[in-house]
Amino acid sequence: MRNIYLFLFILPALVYLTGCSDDPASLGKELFSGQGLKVETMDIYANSATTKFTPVPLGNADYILVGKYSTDDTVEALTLLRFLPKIAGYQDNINIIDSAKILITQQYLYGESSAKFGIEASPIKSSWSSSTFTADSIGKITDSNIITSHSLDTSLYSMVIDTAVIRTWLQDTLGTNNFGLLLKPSAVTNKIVGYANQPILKIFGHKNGVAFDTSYITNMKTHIVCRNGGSTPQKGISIRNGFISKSLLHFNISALPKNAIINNASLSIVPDSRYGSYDSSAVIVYNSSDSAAYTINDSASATLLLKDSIYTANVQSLVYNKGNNINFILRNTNYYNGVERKNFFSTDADSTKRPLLKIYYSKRGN
Amino acid sequence: MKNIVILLLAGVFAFNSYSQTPSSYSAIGFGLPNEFKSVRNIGLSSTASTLDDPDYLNLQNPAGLTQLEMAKIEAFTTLNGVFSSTTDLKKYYSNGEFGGFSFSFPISKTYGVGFLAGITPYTNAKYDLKFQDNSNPAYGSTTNEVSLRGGLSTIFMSSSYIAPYNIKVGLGYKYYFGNTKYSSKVSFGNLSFSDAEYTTSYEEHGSGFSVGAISPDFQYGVFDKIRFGLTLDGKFTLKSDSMLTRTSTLVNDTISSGQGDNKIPMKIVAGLSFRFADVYRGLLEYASQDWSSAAGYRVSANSGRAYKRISAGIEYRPVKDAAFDFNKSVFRAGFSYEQLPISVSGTGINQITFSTGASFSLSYQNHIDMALAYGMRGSKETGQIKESFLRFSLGLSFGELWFIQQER
Repeated sequence: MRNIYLFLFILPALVYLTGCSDDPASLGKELFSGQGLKVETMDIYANSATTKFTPVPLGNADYILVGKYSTDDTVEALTLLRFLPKIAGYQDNINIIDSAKILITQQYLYGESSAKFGIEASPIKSSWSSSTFTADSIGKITDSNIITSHSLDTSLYSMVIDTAVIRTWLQDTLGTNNFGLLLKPSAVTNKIVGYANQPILKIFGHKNGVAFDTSYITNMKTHIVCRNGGSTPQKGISIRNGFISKSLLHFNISALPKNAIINNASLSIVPDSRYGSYDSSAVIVYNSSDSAAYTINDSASATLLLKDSIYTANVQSLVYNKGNNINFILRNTNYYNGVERKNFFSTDADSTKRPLLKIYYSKRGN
Repeated sequence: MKNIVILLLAGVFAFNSYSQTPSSYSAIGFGLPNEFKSVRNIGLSSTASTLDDPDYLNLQNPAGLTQLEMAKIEAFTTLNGVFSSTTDLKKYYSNGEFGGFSFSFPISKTYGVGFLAGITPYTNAKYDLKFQDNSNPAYGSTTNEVSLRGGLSTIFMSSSYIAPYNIKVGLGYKYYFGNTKYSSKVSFGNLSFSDAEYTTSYEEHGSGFSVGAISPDFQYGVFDKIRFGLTLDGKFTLKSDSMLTRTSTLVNDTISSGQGDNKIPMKIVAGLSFRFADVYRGLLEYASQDWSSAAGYRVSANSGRAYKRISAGIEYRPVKDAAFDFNKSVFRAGFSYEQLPISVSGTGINQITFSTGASFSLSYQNHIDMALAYGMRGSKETGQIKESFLRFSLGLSFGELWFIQQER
């Protein structure tokens, strides 16, 4: 009897163990595929796009820039330099300053190399700081040109400076009246040139019939970039270095089915080369926490990369749970170097070039 | 020792109690109706409405408890294999399946009062679908999966009584409950795409009553013990709590939840049985439940078609009276034709089942029951699925004298 009981127990167990081979298969797909998920695509075009340029201190830039360049807009770059030359025991009637020049070496060019170029310099009349001075501060500085001549030898640009200014600097042993120079482009200039980080001031003179020359590096330097229109938002999408450029793109995704799951969201913007070439550096896209103020929500971001002449990024995390109105802000990454510009086709372009948010989403089949 | 075996078997049954019959058609309505409530019932193709024996429990008709002699416990399990095929695909599924557990005891032999309680599946729902889609090059290959698990079970209690004119009547109470989960998922081969899954869960419960009657025995020619049986499972309200959730890499939230009622229609079962040549019992039965009239919260409540069953069975019992002979075995066979409450694209799904079974004695009122059922439903035409199933059921029935005061 005991063996029978054992048999009775083991048999059902074996029944269970040999069962459950129920791996799913595609059988019945045609009959019941409506119960599965459907993946669909929705193309949503931006319905507005504006750009705001915000001047920023550029004291940490790799180059200082001087020049002016005009296409559909005009950009002007100005440099502020401050030298603190000192000659031991300097006396204006004993130490005779014969000449002085500032030497700067070109390392960067924006515009045509053959375009006209000239630099003017003015003494700066008030104090400034390379960490705070921006294009908005330029109204404080005005004076006449103090460059008497200049020359360009290959990439070395030499500017002869009025010796009266140099004597003033040498006499100002405490540095309280020496605010440096503002280098700005001449009226005919139509290119922007960048110079290496260390401009040199060379002073030539003699004392008691003995000639001397001394060289000085800058005590402080920066440059600013100005554009017509200032920081007022303009229509369209434009990313330009020299500013913090923020392009605000608005998409309305209310057409997306309620409760759909977004599988992927891709933002595409097409560069517009009508106003000059564009570089291939990345553009960062964020959500805007305050679209009126162009405020960035930097808790999440995506990087737009150039491929096949289109900048694209997966912005799924920037679309999910953000409501029906999606505000993206595009921002340049290396804004402090140069004045390169990327223009993108905006909302008035044809559908192949318009900013596009392509959403892949899943919804229930029934 | 016997008690230990009972406990072990109960454990095995309980462990497997969530396994369900795999069928594509169970995705429609509340699932496939379960007519197989005991191993004996399976062997006779569900023709149980007139049975009233001391050695088996009648889970179908509450009036069939008047002959109980001992406290009895019955439980069974089923190995279920389903062969599914379409015009171009074939697939075999198999699993173990909890059949049911019940116990009963006599209260008054004089008045035919017996009590029965237990648990048994009411509907079964299990379905899996998985297929690839390479149609969109933008996101590469996707894997789509659809899964359904659940069904309804009943906890029941019933009692019988012998009314005047030897009409046996019974009253039963059923508590219906169950969880059903529909899941739809899509996975992408392209890793820059997030997988997505929707899950709809239903928790349901409701109460209903059943009444039954079995006529006195008649005799006609070579047939004796001719009797009629009738069972009515009253319509009841099944309350549903639902919850829809969505899940992906970036989201895991509840989209909606709600409650509602489903009106489940009445089920009527009428049967006729008779005995001939002393050892054979013939059984005929008709069952109907108009699911097309079901309505309610769950969209699938109304499957658009009535359930109907015609079945016939024959049982060979080599002893004249009902009490089980220790040295004899019982053999059974049956046939049923069912109009399932399922239609696909306007085409109704029907089911044919052939069954056979046997009971072998362990001791008086203790036996092991086996049944084998083979059936078919659907067809390969008009985009349907043809399913052939083979069920092997194994059950135990133990009887013992309870509530008898022992001499000290």
